[in-house]
Amino acid sequence: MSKVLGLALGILAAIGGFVDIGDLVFNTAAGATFGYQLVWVIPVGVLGIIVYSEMCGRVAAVSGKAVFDAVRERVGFKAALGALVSSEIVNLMTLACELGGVAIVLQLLAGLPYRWLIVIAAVAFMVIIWVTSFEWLERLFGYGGLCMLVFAVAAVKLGPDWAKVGSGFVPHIAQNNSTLYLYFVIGLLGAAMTPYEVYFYSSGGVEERWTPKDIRMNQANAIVGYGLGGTLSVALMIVGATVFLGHGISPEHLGTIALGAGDPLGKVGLLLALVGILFAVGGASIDTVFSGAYNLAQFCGWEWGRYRHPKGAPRFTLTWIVLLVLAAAIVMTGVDPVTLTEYAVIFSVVALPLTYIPILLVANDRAYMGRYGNGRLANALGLVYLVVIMIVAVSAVPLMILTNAGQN
Amino acid sequence: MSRASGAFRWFASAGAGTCPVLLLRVLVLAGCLAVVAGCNGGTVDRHALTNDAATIDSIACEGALLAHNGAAGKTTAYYAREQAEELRIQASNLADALARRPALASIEARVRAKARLAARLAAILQQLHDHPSDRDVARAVETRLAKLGGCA
Repeated sequence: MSKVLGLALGILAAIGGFVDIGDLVFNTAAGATFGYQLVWVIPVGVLGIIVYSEMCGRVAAVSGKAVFDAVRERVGFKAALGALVSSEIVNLMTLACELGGVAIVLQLLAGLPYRWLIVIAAVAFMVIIWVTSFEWLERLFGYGGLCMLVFAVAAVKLGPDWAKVGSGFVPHIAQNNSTLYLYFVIGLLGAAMTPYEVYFYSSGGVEERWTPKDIRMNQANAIVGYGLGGTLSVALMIVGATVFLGHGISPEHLGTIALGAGDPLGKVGLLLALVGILFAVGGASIDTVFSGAYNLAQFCGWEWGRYRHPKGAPRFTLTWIVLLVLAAAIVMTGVDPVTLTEYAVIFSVVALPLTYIPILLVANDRAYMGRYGNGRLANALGLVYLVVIMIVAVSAVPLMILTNAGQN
Repeated sequence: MSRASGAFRWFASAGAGTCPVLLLRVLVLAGCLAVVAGCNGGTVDRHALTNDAATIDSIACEGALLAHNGAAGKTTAYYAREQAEELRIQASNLADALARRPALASIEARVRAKARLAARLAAILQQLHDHPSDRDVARAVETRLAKLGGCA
């Protein structure tokens, strides 16, 4: 019974924690620009993150090692250093976006000055991380993020043309403005498969001391949690298409997204959307700050883990504190978190192969995995997605330039 | 020239290295290209004018929707005030850019007209920012913005 409860709680946390600022920005903007035409990209991205999260969760459960431990051991120092630097750059950019997002939502809720709220948010995160256990950090933000389900309610209430939504699930290329369309395809895939998610997922598995007995729970968590979380992305796209495309609005501010729930559901819908976004981007801030600290600590062979007291892993603790300070400094410069999000997502797409190739290699390594190595289905899906990842990684920057970062 | 070729050699030499190192260099190059792509200066041409005009309409329509929800009691005072301020700043920045940036002679008059329109938009949004919980103001702002942006 306790296992079922644990699984249900884990799934709820995964649903609530699925959406981050990249998903919010790209899904809503895609709906506002192309209606339901890009819905098909969401299940493609969700399946990709399920495949690789399950793989790295399994590696963590069997070997007790997280992704970067495996990267360092499997690909050697120089290559791992390249992977580390690129992942840390993308992580820091993403963290800055999420922290800026938290400050924006707090400003919309409380009307306080933005820059003060950046400082307050950074300090609040330090305190929360310091005093809260890993399990409860995950659940606190995951459950709070469930308020995002208000977008699913809004999507239904808006009464979209469900036949058109259904036809959006069929992959196709838009006839008009196909370059911008492809840019959104890349952005949506990048937002769904962002690297910090797998770093956090696998390190979280080690934090929670998964063993091979937990492999089934890992699979259920990844499949059901991410699968249902993906419905939130579909809901955001429907809201974007119905509210914003319908009104001729191109959403360029984080606050605009909440308007999408406020319009059909009134003040309660607006407030739930703001609280949901707050927890979603807040949870993603925690994920990214930990991912950055996990990666560096695992690469350098330091003691790491939130399950240890901060004094038991001092360099790991110092790393996440420094990352939070750096991210706060970046957003204090006045850079727009939404614009930065677009760059962060596109750069993360370029760095995707560095994350996913080592996972596939390690999950196939019988010396590591024994009888828990990848089966045929995992390998087939892993290889298909590797090809997809390589294609999107190569096309991301040219498309960003051709579309002026989605502005054309 | 020598610096450029040095940078090229640095990039190309990754071929002798490992895949992640090459990808890291691609990431650095991507960053540089993205910064260049993100620059928003230069002369306003027809394409830029079309984009800026669409942005003005979008801001106006979002402002109209915000005001509509305000008039219907569907929003909070803080949200209406802060979101109106965000939109006002965006409109004001656009007005400044369109007023100052050089434009092709054939479209200069239209560019300056759009600058004035963006400035008007910013002024209307200021009213919503100043009176976020006043439903009468919200209704008036909605009407003016919907007309200005030609909103559906």
